[in-house]
Amino acid sequence: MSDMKLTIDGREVTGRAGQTLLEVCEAHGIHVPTLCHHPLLTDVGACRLCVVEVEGDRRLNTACTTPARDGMVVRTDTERLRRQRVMTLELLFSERNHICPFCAQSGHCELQDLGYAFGMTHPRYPYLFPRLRPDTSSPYFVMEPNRCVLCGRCVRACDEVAGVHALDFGGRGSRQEVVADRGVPIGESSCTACGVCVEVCPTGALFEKRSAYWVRERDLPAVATTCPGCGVGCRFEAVLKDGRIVRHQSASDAPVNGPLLCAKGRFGLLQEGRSRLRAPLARRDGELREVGWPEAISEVSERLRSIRPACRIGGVISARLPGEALYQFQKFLRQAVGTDRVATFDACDLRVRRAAARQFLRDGASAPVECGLGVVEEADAFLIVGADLAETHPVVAAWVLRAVYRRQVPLIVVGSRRTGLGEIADVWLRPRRQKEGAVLNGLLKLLTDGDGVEGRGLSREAGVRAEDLTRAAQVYAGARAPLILYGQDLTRYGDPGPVVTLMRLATEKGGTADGRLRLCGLAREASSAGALEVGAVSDFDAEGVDLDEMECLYLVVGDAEVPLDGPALERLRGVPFLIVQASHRSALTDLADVVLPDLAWPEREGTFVNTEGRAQDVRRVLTPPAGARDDLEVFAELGGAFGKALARGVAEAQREMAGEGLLTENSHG
Amino acid sequence: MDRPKVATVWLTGCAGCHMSLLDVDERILDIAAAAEITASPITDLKEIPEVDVGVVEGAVSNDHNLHVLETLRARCRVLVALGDCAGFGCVPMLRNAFPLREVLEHGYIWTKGTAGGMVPQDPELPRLLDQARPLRDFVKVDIHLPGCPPPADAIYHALTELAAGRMPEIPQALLKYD
Repeated sequence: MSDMKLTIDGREVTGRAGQTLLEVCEAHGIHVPTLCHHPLLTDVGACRLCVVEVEGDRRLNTACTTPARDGMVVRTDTERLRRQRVMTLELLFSERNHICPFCAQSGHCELQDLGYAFGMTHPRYPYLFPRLRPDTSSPYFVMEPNRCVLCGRCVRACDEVAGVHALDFGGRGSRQEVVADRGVPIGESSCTACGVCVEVCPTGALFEKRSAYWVRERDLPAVATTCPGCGVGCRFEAVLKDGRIVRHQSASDAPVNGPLLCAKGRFGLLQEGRSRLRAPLARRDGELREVGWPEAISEVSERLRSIRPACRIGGVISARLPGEALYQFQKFLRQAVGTDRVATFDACDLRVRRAAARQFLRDGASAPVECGLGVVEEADAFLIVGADLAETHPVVAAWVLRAVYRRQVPLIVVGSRRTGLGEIADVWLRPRRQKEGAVLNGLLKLLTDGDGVEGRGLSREAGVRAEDLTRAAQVYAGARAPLILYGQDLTRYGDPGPVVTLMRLATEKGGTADGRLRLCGLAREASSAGALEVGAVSDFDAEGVDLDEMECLYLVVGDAEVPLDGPALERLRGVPFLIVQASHRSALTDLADVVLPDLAWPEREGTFVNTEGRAQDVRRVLTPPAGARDDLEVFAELGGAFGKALARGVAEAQREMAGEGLLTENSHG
Repeated sequence: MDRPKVATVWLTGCAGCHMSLLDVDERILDIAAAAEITASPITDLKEIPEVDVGVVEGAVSNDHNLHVLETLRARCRVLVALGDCAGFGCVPMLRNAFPLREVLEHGYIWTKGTAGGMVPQDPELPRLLDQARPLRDFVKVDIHLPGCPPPADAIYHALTELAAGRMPEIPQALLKYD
């Protein structure tokens, strides 16, 4: 890191080796106009607006791509440069159809800003009037080529940040345009709708449908919070105007996801089609009718108190809710009601992983500590088992894709479900139902024994080709730092065996720098990783025979969409007393005897613990409607009816949990 | 000394720029004192005399617009393109993506509620040009005042500067494209 001395606009400044002229200027507060430059992306020098004069060179150079060298004498603001930049800008304006008065981006457009900054009153060049049609095929955003300046930020973002590379340039010269895949509508392409392109686009060439024409301001207040969508724990900022969320954008503090979000977190969370519950409901004469909170609370508490023995009362809570809600729910059930039949909706997965960890330890290994998500970047092979990452953990899927496309990292997928990653995998093993374990055992055998006989036998049992199994084993064996990622398809049958095999496989390879296995079981929900720790998962099997014994079931779903098929709903109908705590109406609330209106995700406060065991805070973004109540408040009210004092708010709950050493950095597994 | 003479016309525009001119409110008296407003939609005087300043709102989209523009250009010293239609093409140029025939058929035949429509052919009617274009594609324009509409303050500033015999510079605070 040698220092170098340059002279910029008559000022002597220092630069570091490897810096571009633009970086040196920015470090010293020297303004250079840019358009195609973006701090997250590699510089390409496409727009030619950052041109500077370098003494000794008769050409103008783009500051963003010119390496700074010792002794350079640079001018950033001369008459020649001003003329050049204004002409370049006017060429951009006349190349396509830029009509500010009805552009979604007007007021917060970088092209427009440059026009104002340069004092441009009109483009001097005749308009080309190219015939360009907007592409509205994506559900969330519009590609409007009339506003495009071909800066390429979207192409680079899709390639370098999203890892998908759905966007690129098609055509050349005046026919150049941004295309999706080989020129298909974006909604039919390999685009995952992660929205990074929309966020980095400087003009109205890419804009969100939902917030289009709603906002002209550049600087709106934003609240940073943690996404409730899955166990990855992305941070994003909710931008607010007039008490509503305008859009989501990447947060400056996002230790897990950086600038990347997924379609669900960026766009999906803002699409709510269900109707909001604004008052408690209770069944009267077979119909659900609105009642006041005091009546609802007393009906629930009286019914609960009347049921003996208490173990005929069970509770299931969604791990999409913050850890404090899970903690207080189990505390209410265990200590107030007196039942330990509590679980989360994804309890099966959590129990299997806990059982696998115990079995692995019993078999003599030291504590199997799964690694964090940062290990994805250093992986030189991926083994993905029983997971549809693009569906359940899209940001992780994007990282895998990025590694596969940009670093040619080999990919093995084990799973019978048709998945996007399976289709591009180097080896895709599709075992017969519940035979994933056989595949993994086969891999382990091939890895450890070398002799292929047992492995081939296992491949037959699993219904996969022996050559594929052998190739997968070779890929895994040949890698120095292969990473295993597994999901709920592996644990759904309740058998910890395959997970133990994965732990053994991972042990065959060197661990990470901090001594963890290169293995990561992706927790499904935002609070899944902390659910066991706070006691929200007992042996209660709400889906199995335990349900038939229940006199009362208390379901706390928040705004989660609980997929229940016909048979499941029928079984719930058989429960004598069903309490559902939810924010929106659903088939589930329609079945309930009492419905307690809950908060939706933007109204909550608390803590999520992601799959790595990282605790991150959830901040309230919106005010809840008057009739909805926070879960902790409801549990405290009910607890009061049982004579048990429970925390009345998030802060109090957090103090209690801290006192018990809960929800601090931990490792699960 | 005689006040400088001003004429204004509107071509294919919505009249919004002229409304913005009127938004100078009582300052119209200052303008009227400093300059003589001759032909204009505001005065409703139809014949354009020789003037010092010609102000044009709207894009050129038919042959009548072109005739009016060329007439004014020939009779004025300084021509001002008022607003985005005159300077950037703006709304009128939306139709440029489509062949002219299609545009006319959409407007006169395929609109809902039209039965037995036909594209008017009367020789008295102005004929649409293939494309709607900003003024500078046809004549030399001396000053561009962007905006949809330009702020009243920008128009006031430009007119008073011109009346004083100076070429106006648009300060950044008054520069807007929408």
